[in-house]
Amino acid sequence: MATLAFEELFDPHFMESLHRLRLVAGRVPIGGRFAEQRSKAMGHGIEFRDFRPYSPGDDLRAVDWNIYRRLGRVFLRLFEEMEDLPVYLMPDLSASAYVSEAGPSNSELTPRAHAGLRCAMALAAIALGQHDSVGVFPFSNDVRVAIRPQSGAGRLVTFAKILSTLGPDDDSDSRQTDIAQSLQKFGAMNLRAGLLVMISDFFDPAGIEAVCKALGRTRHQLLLVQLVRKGDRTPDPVQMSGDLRLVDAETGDAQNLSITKELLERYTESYDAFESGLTDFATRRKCGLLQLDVDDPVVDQLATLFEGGRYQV
Amino acid sequence: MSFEFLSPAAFGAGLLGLAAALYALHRLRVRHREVIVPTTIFWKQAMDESMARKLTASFRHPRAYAFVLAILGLLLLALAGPKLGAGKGRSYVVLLDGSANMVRGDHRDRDLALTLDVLDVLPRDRTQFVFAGATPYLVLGAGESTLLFEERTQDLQPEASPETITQELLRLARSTAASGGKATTVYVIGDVKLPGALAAHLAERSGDRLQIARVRRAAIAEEPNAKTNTALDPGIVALGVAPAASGEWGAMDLWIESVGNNRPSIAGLNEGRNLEASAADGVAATTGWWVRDLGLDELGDRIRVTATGAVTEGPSAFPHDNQAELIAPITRGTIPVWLGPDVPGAFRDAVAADPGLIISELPGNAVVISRTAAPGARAHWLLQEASSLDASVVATGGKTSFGTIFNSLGLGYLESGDADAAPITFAAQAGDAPALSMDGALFAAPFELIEARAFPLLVGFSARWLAGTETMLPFAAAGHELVSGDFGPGLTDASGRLYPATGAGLVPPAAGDYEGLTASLLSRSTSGAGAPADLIGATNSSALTELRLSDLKRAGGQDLSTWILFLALLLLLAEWHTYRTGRMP
Repeated sequence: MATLAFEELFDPHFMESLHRLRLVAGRVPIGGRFAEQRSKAMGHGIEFRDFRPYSPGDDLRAVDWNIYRRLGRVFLRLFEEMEDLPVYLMPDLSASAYVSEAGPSNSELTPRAHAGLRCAMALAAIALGQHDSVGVFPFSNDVRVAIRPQSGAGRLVTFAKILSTLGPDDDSDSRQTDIAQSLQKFGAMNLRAGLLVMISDFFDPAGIEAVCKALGRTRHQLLLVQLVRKGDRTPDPVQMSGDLRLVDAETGDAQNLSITKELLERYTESYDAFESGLTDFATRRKCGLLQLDVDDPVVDQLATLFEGGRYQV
Repeated sequence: MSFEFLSPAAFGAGLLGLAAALYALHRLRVRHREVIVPTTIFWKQAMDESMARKLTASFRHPRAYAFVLAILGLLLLALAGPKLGAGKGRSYVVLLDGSANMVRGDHRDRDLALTLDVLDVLPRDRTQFVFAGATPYLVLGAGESTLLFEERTQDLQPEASPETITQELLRLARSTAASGGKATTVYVIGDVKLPGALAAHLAERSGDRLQIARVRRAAIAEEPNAKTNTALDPGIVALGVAPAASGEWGAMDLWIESVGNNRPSIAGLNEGRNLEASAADGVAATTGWWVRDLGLDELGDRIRVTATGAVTEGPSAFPHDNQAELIAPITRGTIPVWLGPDVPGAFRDAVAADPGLIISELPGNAVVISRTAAPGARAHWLLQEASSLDASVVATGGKTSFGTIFNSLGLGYLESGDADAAPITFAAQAGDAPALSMDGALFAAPFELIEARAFPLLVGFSARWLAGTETMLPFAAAGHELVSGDFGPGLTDASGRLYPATGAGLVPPAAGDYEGLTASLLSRSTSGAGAPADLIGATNSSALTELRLSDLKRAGGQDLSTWILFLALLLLLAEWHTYRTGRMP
């Protein structure tokens, strides 16, 4: 149950439903491989972008001879360079994403990490399908490299296999969420600026302020996928009633309490503050924020992010 | 509001106990249900916030406590049997007739069922149930549950005796008046005939604290064993004794009253002999026979009268009146009397003439008649100077039982020659050392009391009163009067005639105790001869208040138990809803 089966990740229907979705970057940084995203570099692309005066050493094939004939001066025609968008997927593998939660009628719900991995797989498939490079960097209290950035639609099966092997760490320390440290380590990898997709419940013991602060320091474009459940904001009154001993899945800390209406109201207020903190950050940073209900189909929710089938990074 | 099964104090104590027990339970450390959650950060923040806003934290679930306490309190209240408007403070006595009349048909079962219904609508904590058989018997005391009713009444059968309800009512009136206690309502159930004047009489005796009413069902079934042809099935309707009219001390006269053509036979039990011939030779009166001069020693301690020619089988048979029994008076012993040397000789003559008295040679253990006290005497009749009398009691006042004797002999006033009639005074002292003091001058000129025709009776009655020996009282069962006289609580009918409470143990005008008499008789009406005019109950019986069970239900108050249980159920639902909506743990 901890890991996700390969068949669940590489489901033909699941992959088919992603074909109409595209990631579109404004300008990808210079230094990438030739691909489909517009980059800041000028080069030998197809789409005209600008003129500039000729200087010695320039490629004569780029001289616009029509201008030279009319004006008697030599200008070069500049074309957009099409490069790839680096997409860095950071799925959350902390214990909170793998905790078994009870649903209606005490049925056991799937871990929210599974939805996160399916989301990661979907984004990887979209990016690989348009020749962008994709890397997978799962994290909990630290980040590690599961798949180095690579491109090519043919890599999809490899991605699925590797994602299906991802699961929670046995080490108790590694099961805690530390987004700040993970981002710091990720930043230290000095990767080419791209789209950083953080897929997490963002339940960091350090608090949402610390999380936002760490996210604000990253130089990548951000897409935040928040793994949520319906019971996160308003706990099920049947499940969460009476005298409870709540055990934190990550830290193991226990909290004895008696559920009352007032306590539930305080809880909802606290959760709302957490959510508004994340939303405010996304608004300030102008980054995407998708609240992915882990119990609903992933692609349908992901499609809401892609207006007209495109998500503008 | 009153409680049927619990006193208000017991209810309050129970509620306090419940509150304390529940409080203790709420203070107990609970076992928390463990739930693993993705994070507890929001719960911690919520707890911190709640703690900051909470005024007190010592009591964990005041709402749950209030709910449970309210629900259990209501259950306790329902268990207490609350009734609304049940006459707060008033006591109730249910008197069921247990006399021989109740053997008729299904009267016993019918009225037992009615009694249970009546008890169900009255407040149990203030209601007694008394079965008025030969001796009134408390079946259910105040506060005892009606669940005990069946067990305690299954062996109760009508007893072979006349009704004792009148006697019990008079006792209740006396005790209520004496104690100055709660107002009491008595509900009478059964066939007993009670005079209409009884209610007012009891109210007067009890200082308006005792009310009486008869309870009947709305419809009374036909009496299957009602007898129609008395000629075919004779029966005994009255039996009584009286001192022998001949004056023979060791004998009595027996009164037999029967219906039918045949005279009954008489037998004495316990070594007695068959007295059938005596019965046949009895002197016929208007409604029965006197059998004269039956020797007490011959009869034994019980007298049985059997109706000759009674039918024991068939539709007209009514076996309950075929036989009657009477406890014979205790054999009267002779009283030793010692006469002092200074008393007039007329005293000696009177003692010698009385068959119940013998002259003793020694004063020890004898009734002493003298001018001075003698040591070791059983009692004293002292003839003293008028000035040395300790107390004066006007005989006509009838303030003591001895005064009653005095009056009954017509000695209340004595003419003293040329003087006007003056009251005779005496001092009477009952108790362990009975004594009677009279002015010795009364027995000499000019008064010459010894010359009075009643003087021998005065000597005889006085000696008996002093000795505490029983006086055989005229007695008859089934409400018949054999003699008139105020020998205790009695009743006055519409014509002003006074009736003793017959069928009861009467208190005799004697210093000693007296054992009551009982008889096994059916009433005349039961035996099919109709209600005789001289039955006590036949006079003005319609004036007694009669209630139906439905009236009593209104008077007994409305039972709130069902409503309280319903309210408890509503509270339970509210608690469940509050719990389900997360407003209560």
